[in-house]
Amino acid sequence: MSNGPAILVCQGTGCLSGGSEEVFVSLERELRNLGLREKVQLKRTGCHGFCEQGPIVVLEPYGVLYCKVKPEDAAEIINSAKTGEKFVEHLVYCDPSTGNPLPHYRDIPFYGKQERVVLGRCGKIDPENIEDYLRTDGYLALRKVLLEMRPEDVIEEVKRSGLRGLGGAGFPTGKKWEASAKAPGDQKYVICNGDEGDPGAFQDRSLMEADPHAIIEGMIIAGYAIGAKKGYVYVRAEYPLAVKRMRIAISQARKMGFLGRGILGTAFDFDIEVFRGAGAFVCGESTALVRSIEGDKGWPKPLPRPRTAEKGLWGKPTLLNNVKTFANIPIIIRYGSAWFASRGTEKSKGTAIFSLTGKVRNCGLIEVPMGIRLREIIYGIGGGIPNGKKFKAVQTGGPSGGCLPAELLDMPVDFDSLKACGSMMGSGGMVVMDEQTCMVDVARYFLEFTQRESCGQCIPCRIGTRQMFQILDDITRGRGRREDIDLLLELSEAIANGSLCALGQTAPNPVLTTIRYFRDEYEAHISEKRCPAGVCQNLSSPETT
Amino acid sequence: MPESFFAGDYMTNDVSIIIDGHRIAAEKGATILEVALRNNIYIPHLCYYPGLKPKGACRLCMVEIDGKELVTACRTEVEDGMVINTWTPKVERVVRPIAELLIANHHATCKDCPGTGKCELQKIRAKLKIQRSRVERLRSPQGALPIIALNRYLDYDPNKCVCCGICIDTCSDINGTGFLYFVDRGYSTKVAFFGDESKCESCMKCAMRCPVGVLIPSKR
Amino acid sequence: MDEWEEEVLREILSFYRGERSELIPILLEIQANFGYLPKEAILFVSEFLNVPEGHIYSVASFYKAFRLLPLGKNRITICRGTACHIRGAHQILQEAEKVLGLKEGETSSDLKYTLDTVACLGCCALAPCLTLDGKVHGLMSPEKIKTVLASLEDGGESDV
Repeated sequence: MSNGPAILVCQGTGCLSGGSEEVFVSLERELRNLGLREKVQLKRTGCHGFCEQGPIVVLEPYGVLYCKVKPEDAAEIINSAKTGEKFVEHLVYCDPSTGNPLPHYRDIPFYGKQERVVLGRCGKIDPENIEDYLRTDGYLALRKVLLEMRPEDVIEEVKRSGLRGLGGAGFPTGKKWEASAKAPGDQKYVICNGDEGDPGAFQDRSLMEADPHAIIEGMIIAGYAIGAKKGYVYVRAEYPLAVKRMRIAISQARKMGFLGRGILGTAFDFDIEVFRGAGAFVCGESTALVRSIEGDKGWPKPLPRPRTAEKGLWGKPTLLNNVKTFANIPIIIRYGSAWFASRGTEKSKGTAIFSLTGKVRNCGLIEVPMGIRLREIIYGIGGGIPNGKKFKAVQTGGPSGGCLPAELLDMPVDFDSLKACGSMMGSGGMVVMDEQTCMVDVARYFLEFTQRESCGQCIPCRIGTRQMFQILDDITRGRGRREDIDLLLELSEAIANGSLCALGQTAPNPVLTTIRYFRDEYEAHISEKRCPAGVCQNLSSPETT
Repeated sequence: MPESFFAGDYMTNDVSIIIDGHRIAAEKGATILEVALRNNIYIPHLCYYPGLKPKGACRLCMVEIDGKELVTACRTEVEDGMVINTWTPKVERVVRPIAELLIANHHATCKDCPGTGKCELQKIRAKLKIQRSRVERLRSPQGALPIIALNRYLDYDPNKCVCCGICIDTCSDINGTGFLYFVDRGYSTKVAFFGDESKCESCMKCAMRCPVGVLIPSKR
Repeated sequence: MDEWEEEVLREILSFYRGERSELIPILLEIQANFGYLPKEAILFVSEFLNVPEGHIYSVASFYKAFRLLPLGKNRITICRGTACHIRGAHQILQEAEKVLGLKEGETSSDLKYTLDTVACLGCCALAPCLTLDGKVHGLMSPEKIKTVLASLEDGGESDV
């Protein structure tokens, strides 16, 4: 980066909706008026993570962070950017417990307790300018791979890193790459799954919006490793900004010779296309996603069937990884698998990215080392529960995951611990719930979602999730029956073991975990016609006034 | 998906398997469901029809292999030495609730139903001895959906449809691209007719093969 | 479809090769230009891609992004993501339904408003949120949505 001061305006979807483009325009006008346009850099960046406090403006190289910025603050911000020592007081973040101003983001607990590696560039570079990516060591990993490594070395390196995929099983990424590489076929494909259908998660969107080249670089490296020439980025249609920025990044990478024929003067050809999803949660499932690209409904393929690694897109070997997985690849190559594996826990390496939302003070995008305690995330980074309320539960893994109670706050956050408690890492949504959240209503919410998103192919999911939703709906309306809890458990087992794909197989998890940890709330609804959290309004209880 | 077992080229009995304790000689390439049905061992099923590609969609034909995993019998080929149990506690805990769900959701009475007699759902109810009390624990749909005229020959009763897809596959098997398609998704999934009505020869194979009584020859 | 609309459609299709795998991208573009998928357009695409009309309907009715009926001029899409739900998205939806006199998924008969929901907008930190003609509005409350909808009403009247 150049030495002069820089004003970075966050243009993630959160800040944009708060008016950050207007802030940018106002800063630009003010700089021009002051004749400082050449002296002070002004940049649009991707998501800085602290969405709750948006629009965010950051002053570099001082590391000063301003919150909730308005267009009329422009002159004061520019003034403070001259030296970086005087702050615009009313824009400085204050510690909610002490009230002390914390002008530097490194001092803000939300950032201080994170380990931002994959998110390292987010909020610091202009995602629509490849030069920014190159200046921050971008495409160095690709250079190293193409010029110094054989495909098998790359796979070995990814295997040694211990990186795991974000599907339910947390499958080792290196093994997946190896399977795709070994699968015979002259034509192979790399697909990046950015169909972040999990309601309550936005980290894939943020990464695509803030650091698109990192994903592209990871995909090119994957293409080289498995012998593919073509890649697709599958992005939800609901994410127009992510689509736009990925497309801009792809065309810039093409112009610079990182995509296309003979990349970096080698014989390796690779290109990427953006494919927009059309709104179906089930398309997060690999075979459904593949069918969707082929021009079909997203109906998952039933077992037994060949693996996507062997017979995927158009029947060709296909490597499908998540956005975050690809973004980790350049890091592993640049710093080495040994460094990567030195962080995290024994079986979950590196960092985890979460969208921290719900009833928590500091909502936003966070990156933490694997194995961190839940408490550290919710209280240390998240700043605890607002309005003096008590913590009740945290939901991870979206509709496939579960709700974890206060007793598990000291649990380490990693693939296997989450699974053991009935939840999962999944796409990385982390929704905090307080005493005013009704757990039966939460279960009802998730089943409403899954029955809406069920593809309709198999009976247990099509009719079973609908039935579970109706029972839960009845319970929240005071029409619950005594045998309903057992019935829900019975149906859960049948749906989990009988459904055709992972959507149905994991759909009961929110119900199972809420029954496991919050059974008393179900009982209060059913026997006493009482909602302990006061959420369900239609219970005919004499106590509720 | 192995294509070979439709080709009729499995003439040699070269695999030995055990289904529910019976040793059975079977043809390589055949599926568990085919072998079981041929040997008069009943496995509940709705979306399987001989000669059509097995879909594994109804999930009723799940069986336990070698005391471990559950698989769909319609899509799993027999292998030498396979030990298959069609009705274990594990199977029952999956298949029975699915059958009960289907019946609770089957918004119709059997009286006057064109499916009566050939109905696979009636058969499943009888074979599994499904009790009314267990079905009554479940929530049934409120109010019936109207019967839909698919074309001038055929009416469709969405209240009874189990979405097995046999009519759709039958039509495309006979007419190349076919006239019948699934529309919508999830619980709203239903069958619809598209294309040139005059090209439908009203062969009625779709209605004949319907495992329940969803497709009704039009009275108009 | 009038002549102009047919021209738009031809223009859209001119960027495609006519392969089956282009179905969803083509439908998304038609949807973006027309606000829904007109029947004539579907027949056009069916011919262009050599894919049966039934297949296109089957696909179009499966994905949430596609509409088979025209949309209102103002589209209010309320997020029902988890974070929004926990922070009261349901009340926002109820309020919008009350003010507009529409149920979720409906379009007013004068084609002025469409009220819809979306699984998640990915703006969870601003929950509860909604989009108004594509622009995100965050940190909603039943009072705030009234103001937002009232501003629409004003804008709509000044048009007349």
